[in-house]
Amino acid sequence: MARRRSLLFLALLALAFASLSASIFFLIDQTKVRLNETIYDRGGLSGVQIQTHYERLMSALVGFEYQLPGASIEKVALEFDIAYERINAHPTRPPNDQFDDPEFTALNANLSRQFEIFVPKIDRLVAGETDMIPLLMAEFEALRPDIDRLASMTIQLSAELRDGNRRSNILAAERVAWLIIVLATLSLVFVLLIWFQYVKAEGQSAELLDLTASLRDANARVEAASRAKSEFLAHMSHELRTPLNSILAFSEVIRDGVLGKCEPAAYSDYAGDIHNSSRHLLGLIDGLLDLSRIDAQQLDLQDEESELAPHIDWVISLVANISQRAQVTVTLRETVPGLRILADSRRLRQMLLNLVDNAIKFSDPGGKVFVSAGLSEQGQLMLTVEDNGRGIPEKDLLKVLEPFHRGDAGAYHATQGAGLGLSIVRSLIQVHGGHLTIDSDGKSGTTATLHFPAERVLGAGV
Amino acid sequence: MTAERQRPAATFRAIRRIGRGLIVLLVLLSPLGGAKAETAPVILTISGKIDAGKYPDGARFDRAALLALGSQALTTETHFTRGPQKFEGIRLSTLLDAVGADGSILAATALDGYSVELPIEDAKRFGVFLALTWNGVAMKVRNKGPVWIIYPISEHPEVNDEIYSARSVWQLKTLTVK
Repeated sequence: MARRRSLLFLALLALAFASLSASIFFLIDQTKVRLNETIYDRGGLSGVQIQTHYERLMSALVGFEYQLPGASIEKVALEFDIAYERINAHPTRPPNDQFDDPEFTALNANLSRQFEIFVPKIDRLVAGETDMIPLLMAEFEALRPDIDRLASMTIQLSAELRDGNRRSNILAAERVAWLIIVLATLSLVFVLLIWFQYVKAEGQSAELLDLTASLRDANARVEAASRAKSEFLAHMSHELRTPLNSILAFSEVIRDGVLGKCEPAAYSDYAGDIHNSSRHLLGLIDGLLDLSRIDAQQLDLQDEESELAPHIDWVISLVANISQRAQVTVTLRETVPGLRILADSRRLRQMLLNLVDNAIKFSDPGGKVFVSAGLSEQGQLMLTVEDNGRGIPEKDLLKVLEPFHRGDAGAYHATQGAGLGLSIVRSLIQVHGGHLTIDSDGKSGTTATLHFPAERVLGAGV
Repeated sequence: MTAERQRPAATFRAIRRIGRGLIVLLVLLSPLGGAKAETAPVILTISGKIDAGKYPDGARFDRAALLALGSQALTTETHFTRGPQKFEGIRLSTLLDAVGADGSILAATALDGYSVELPIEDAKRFGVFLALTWNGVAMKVRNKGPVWIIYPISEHPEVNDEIYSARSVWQLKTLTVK
């Protein structure tokens, strides 16, 4: 994006530069044309030339009349012809080689007519009528004021033309100078813009580098902290279990009055409470231990091939007491006969137990929990635990998978657990290469499904 | 006194007349150039570095001799006229080849004494033309004749410049190869 923008910027810069250069060159060219016109005022000379040739014609006539050396009628005729040509040439010149002056034009036209009258007379002279020379001289002499006027006008008009050209040259030069100033200013602005962009980009990239470095540091710190936490949990969980086992054992002994009945009887109840709390605590610690192992990637699966049905049966029988107490029925709805599975059997049972336990906990008295096993079209095993409880609101569906989340505490305040169950199940099924899905419309029940990949499914009852 | 003074003059005039007659006779008898001198005037003379064997005293051309070298038509604008003009004449290079010109500069002089030097390479580079007929009329002194050097602007627009207008000599009389 930035690259495209800078390319566009460069293209615009080049275009601007090219068009400005082109206009400058055009103006310089125009100026050159004007300068040429200043020199090219030969048209202005023609008036003076007419005067010169008129004088030469007059002296040729005088020379012949007084028989001066080198004089001849031919010379007179030649000088007349040359003067005639000069007088008639001017009006036919290109407009830029002429004076735009009515008086000059009229004067020139008049002389042109006068000279035309002389043509037959000169022809007669050449034919031998030399006695007409004095008359011709007088007639030519009569043209002198007009000839002189034409010459002086030529000089005057030429000077005016030159001045005008000089003025327009100065104007053109000024225009070129202004354009160069504008171009230089624009170039400066462009250069400054590029420079600012560059400085800005430099600053940004430095900032980005700093940010990346600090993020990398922060990330390393977070990872280290996380690792430390996991290691701490793994160690502590283990250390916590040891004293808890004593508490569990002795509280059970007291509760059950193994060494004799407790007096008063309330002590026995208190010991029972201690036992239950400790059991809960143990479950919590076990969960933490599992989670931290998974976090620390220390969980090793003991994969083995086994039949699926006995695992389900085991789980259902294990929860019989709890379900009875909760007045919830747990039923195997559907299974795939003879299906064998490659999995860590202990973890498989743990996952299933967790889901069934959860389903019972989140069911109202009289609720029903169904366990079923089925194969998908792709050969995946789907272990489904379905209840008809109140379900999970849609907004909580993702949250329930997070550790320590326990659904809506208001609705199920009576339920037990630290909220680790689903999180552990999810981690365990992921370690098996599968995934956990939870579906609920938030009103009528929840369906939790363990998806095992097809490669773990063996002998699908065929 | 007066009669005596007039007599020698009359005698002198008679001798001059006889002399002139003799010259005319000699010219008429001579096989070369005699007829030319009488019938068609020389309009262009070329001298300088040309074929000395063929033209020991410079090459002189009348109108017909020039056209005989290779008459061409040319329509072009000129520095001194408005709009395209029709000319007939010869290319300068044709004339230079014909006289064996061997130089780099050509001095062109007009009847009124105007003279300019032009590089001989101009002849081939711009196809410089020697016009003898303008818009169907044989050019005379009264009409920039008898010969006008034309730089054909229509063929080579770059010659529309002061330098070349100065070289476009009209009423051309002589050329000198240097």
